[in-house]
This record gives sequence, structure tokens and C-alpha cells, in this order.
Amino acid sequence: MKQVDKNKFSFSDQVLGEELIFLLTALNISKAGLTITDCSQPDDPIVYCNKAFENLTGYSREEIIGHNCRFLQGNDDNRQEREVIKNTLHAGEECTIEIRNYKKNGSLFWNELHLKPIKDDLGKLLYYVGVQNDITRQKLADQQLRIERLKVEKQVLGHTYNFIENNNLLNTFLETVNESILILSRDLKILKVNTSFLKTFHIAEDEVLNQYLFEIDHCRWDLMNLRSLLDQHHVNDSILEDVVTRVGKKMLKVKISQIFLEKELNIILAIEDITELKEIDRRKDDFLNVASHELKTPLTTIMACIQLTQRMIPKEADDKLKDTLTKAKEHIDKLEHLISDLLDVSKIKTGKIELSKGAFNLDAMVFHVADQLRKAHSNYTINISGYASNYYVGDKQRLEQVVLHLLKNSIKYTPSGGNINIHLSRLSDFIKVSITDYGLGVDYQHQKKIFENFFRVDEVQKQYPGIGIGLYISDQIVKNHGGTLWVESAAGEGATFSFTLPLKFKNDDKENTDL
Amino acid sequence: MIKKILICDDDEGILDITGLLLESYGYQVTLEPDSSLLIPRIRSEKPDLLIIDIWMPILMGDEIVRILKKDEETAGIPVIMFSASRESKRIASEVGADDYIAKPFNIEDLTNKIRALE
Repeated sequence: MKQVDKNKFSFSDQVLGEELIFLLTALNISKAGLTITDCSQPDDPIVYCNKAFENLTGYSREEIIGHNCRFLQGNDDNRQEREVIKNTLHAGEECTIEIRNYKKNGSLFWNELHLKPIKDDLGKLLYYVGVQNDITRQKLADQQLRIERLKVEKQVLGHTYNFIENNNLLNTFLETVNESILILSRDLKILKVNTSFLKTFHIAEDEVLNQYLFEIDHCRWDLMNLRSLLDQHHVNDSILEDVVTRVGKKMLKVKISQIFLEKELNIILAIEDITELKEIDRRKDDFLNVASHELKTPLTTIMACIQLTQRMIPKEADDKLKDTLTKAKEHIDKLEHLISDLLDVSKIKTGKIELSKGAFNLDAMVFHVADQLRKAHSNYTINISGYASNYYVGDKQRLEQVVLHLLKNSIKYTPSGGNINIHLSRLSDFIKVSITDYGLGVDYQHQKKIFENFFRVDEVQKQYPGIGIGLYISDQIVKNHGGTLWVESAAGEGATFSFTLPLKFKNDDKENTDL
Repeated sequence: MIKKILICDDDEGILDITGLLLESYGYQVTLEPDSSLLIPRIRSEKPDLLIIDIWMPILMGDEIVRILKKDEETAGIPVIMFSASRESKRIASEVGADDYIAKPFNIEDLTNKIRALE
């Protein structure tokens, strides 16, 4: 095959040339997962992945580009394997290794990873190609064999214990749990029901026992989404909204699992009534929305009063008096931001966050935000390297909010001061912004949770004030632009918060004209 | 040149103090807390600029601006909308307001915006 000219194989610019299209199509047909990482960028981000890699890992391309490959390792130590990979990359060599990786849904898969470097004529390392094969099945077959052997040994020892025969245990269990539970036959006839179900839905036992699920209570349970849920032959759960029952409209969380009882396939239906929970949640959001709006009204008056006083104050007045007013104004600004954040949370929860999109210079925006913070925090050195985009279409104000929040976070959790490094890059048709600090860091167990609303790490809570919504809002803003935000960190070793944004994101949002 | 400014807000605290602030910059300011009386007042007073809140009882600010901008007699009066919610920016642009400022506001930002409309 003719070798592809590396100038043609540019991931940054619009790809031209049939040869490359054929090549990319071939790569997408491949059963093996393929990735290409860019060694010229810090932390070797992925700049290309094929379809098979998305299928293999369960992540979409938007969630993959810009990450380092280790995002598949979860919290797994994999120490030996990591060492091999590290040494291979360091030496610019080739290697094949079997490593435990994790899909997006958290399930484990064994990855047979082949790494091969791409170098230029002078031997300078440009890219690494990773070929990944899922060898979980082979691995599991080996394991299964070992388990079977153990089982046989156990049976020989006479330690089998049959739970099913113990009807008492089953009944006690059914009456202990809070959920309403139905045990159904394969053809959906109700075999067993617990008191919680009868009480919650005001039905007598003889109205349901030995009846078909979809026929009870005048076919009220014959619901499209319940049917489709039952059609799927594995453990599944779903939220059913507006289910009309004898006791009014309900919102139900339904979980379905299957079990073999006395050699027959049975279906267990667990139903949780979450109507009230949802109502409380809704009321909380309404409250947040109204409260934050109402709080801003007196704040506007106070702010205006201070500004008027500042204007009326004689020039020869004491500097202390002037400083006091400036401080008061600064703190009102802080309070205003806090209230705005609360308002944002309520909007996100009710799906009302709106993007006002327009073209702007993203790099300049990052420089501007960094400049603002440099002035107020002289004991920190904020460095910026690389470039991302001087023409990005998105909500400038919102993305500024994200960068500002991430930088403020870095400053807050690096109490001793020091370096904070921002790196801007363009990877394939994405831009990436990374902010690295050398402060407290985030323990692995909290790395997903910190993006949830009102979450604060317990041990940090006491020392560092905050209400735990900044990262939640930032994450939602990035998501609304079709991008991803994540953290890589170890406790005590600082943290790198990165986000990627696709350059060609299209959704239903109207482009609002900037005033 | 903008000299006469009419401000409309149902919160009289905000109304008074914003008026005083703008007066300190030399503007002639008149105030209207009742949005339902605003349109006839604009027709008789003919201000050089209208600053108007969005969320008000009886007649909302966006409805008023929509009416003013459709009427030949009043369409030429510049309008700045001010409100505490972020969506107001979108609302202001939809109804054809000339500019928008978020509450709480910085008086320099407001006076800059006024000057830009001259």
C-alpha cells in the first residue's frame, strides 16, 4: 500500500482526498478498537478513535477525544501493566499487554492492548496507535472453569443449601422491604404479592392473585412502557410517569429482574412510589427559582445605594471610608454571584438553561479571565500555553463562567499559592482547555461526585466554604455545548480539570443575536 | 443627546435610588412605579430614553416594549430593559429593546450603555 503522506493525514484541518476517506471507512469497519494519541500535546490526548472503540468502551467520541487512554482504567491499580505501558511510551517502543479496563457503565473488560509508535523521518515520536481487542470472553471462560471446579468440590462436601425451599425466608423478605413487590410467572400471571403493594395501591389480595398483570384493576397496569420493560430479558429499571391508579396519578420507579424458582422462570417486579419525592424536588426547584429572584431585588437597591454614596462622598473624605464602600460593593458582587449560581441550579433542574450563542475568540476569553484573576491573586502564577480557537460559536458568557469557576477552584484548593497552568489545544474537531494546579487534589472516590449539585467533600467542607454548585453548573454548561468536563487527580497531588468542546456542535438551540 | 430618562419599575426602592444615581450624572429623571400607566405617560412626556423592568404586575415590561416598538410615534425612543434573571437578555432582544442590563447593576455600565445609544 502506498504510504499516506502525514501532511494529508491531518486531524486538525478538514480532511480531503479519497484515499483518506477509504482509509477511515476501513478503520471504522474494523472489529478492533483503534485509537491515535498525539504525543506532541501534554498528557498524550486521544485525537482519533474508530467506531469499534466507541462500541467496546460504551463511550461516545465526544467523551473520548481529548482524554488520555488511562480513563478506561477506573480506580483499578493495574500497577504492573501500567509500569510496562509507561516504560514502552517513554522508550517510544512497541508492546502488547492484557489490562483490566472499565466501560462507561462500570463493567469490567479485559483489553488486549497493542501499542505502536509513529515517528517522523528523524525518529521523533509523533503519535501512538493503540489497537484494542476485548478478550473478556476468553478470560471469563478460564474463570468459569475454575469456579465450576470449586462448585463440584463443594457439592462433594455436601454443603449445598437450597434457598428456594425455604418459603419462610422468602415471605419474611417480601414483607420487610419497603417496595411493592410482585412475583410473576413467565406469562405474567401474579404468583405472589406483598402487603406493601396491596396497601400502596388499595387493592385486595384476591383481586390480584392468579390474575394476569395487565388485566388487574380494569387493565390499569396495561401500560406501553411497562410492557416494553417486561419484554427485555434482563435486569432493568425505569421511571413510569403519570400512572393512573386507584389512589390517583403516581410516579413509579419500577425494577424488573428474572429468577429461576423451582426450575421455572419467574419475573420479579419491584415498584417504588416516588410521587412525593418528585413533588418535593419540584417544590424545592420552584423555591430556589423564586427565592433567588426575590433576593436580587433588595440587593439591587443596596448596590445602587452604595454607588450613590460613593458618588456623593466628598473628595477630601477619609480613605478608610472610601475603602469600606469599595469592600461592601465587592461583597455584594460575591453575594450576587452566589444567588446567580443558585438560580442556575434551579434552571438546570427544570431544563430551562438557555444558551445565547455567538462567535467569539475563545483563546482571548481565557486570557481575559486569567488576567482578571492575576490582579486579585498575586501569590499565584497563572501560565497559559498552546492555542485552541479564535473563532468558536457558543455562549461566551456561560463558558467564561466555566473557566472562571475552574480557575477560582484551583486557586481555592491551592492555599499555599504557586503555579496554575492552563493549556489550550485543538484535537481533531474538538478544542480542549486544561487547568492544572498543584494543590489538595481530589480523591478518586469523589471524582465523579464533585460534579453533582450540592456535593462537598466532607473533610474539605469545614476548611473551605462553598455550597457545592459551581462544578455542577460548569458541567451542565459544557454538556449543553456538546462537550465533556472531567478531572484527573490524586489526593494531595493537585488536579487537572479539562473540558472539550466540539467545533461543529449543532443542536436545536437558536442562535441568539447578541445585544 | 439623551437628557430626559423615564424609569419604570414596580419596586419603588430600586426606582428611587436608580433615579437619584442617574440624576447625579446630570440626567433629568422621571419615575413610574405603575406599568399600566406607562404608555400614556410616554406619549405625553416623550422621554429620550426608557429604562424598564421586565417582571411587573398587571402589564409586563416585555409587553410594553413590544407595543412601543410597533407604534410609529414611540418606536424611535430607545429602551434599556433591566431585570434580575438571565433570560431577560433573550427577552429584551426578542421584543426589540435597544439594550439590556442585569440587576444588580454597575452604574458605570449603565451610563456607558446610555451614552452608546446617543
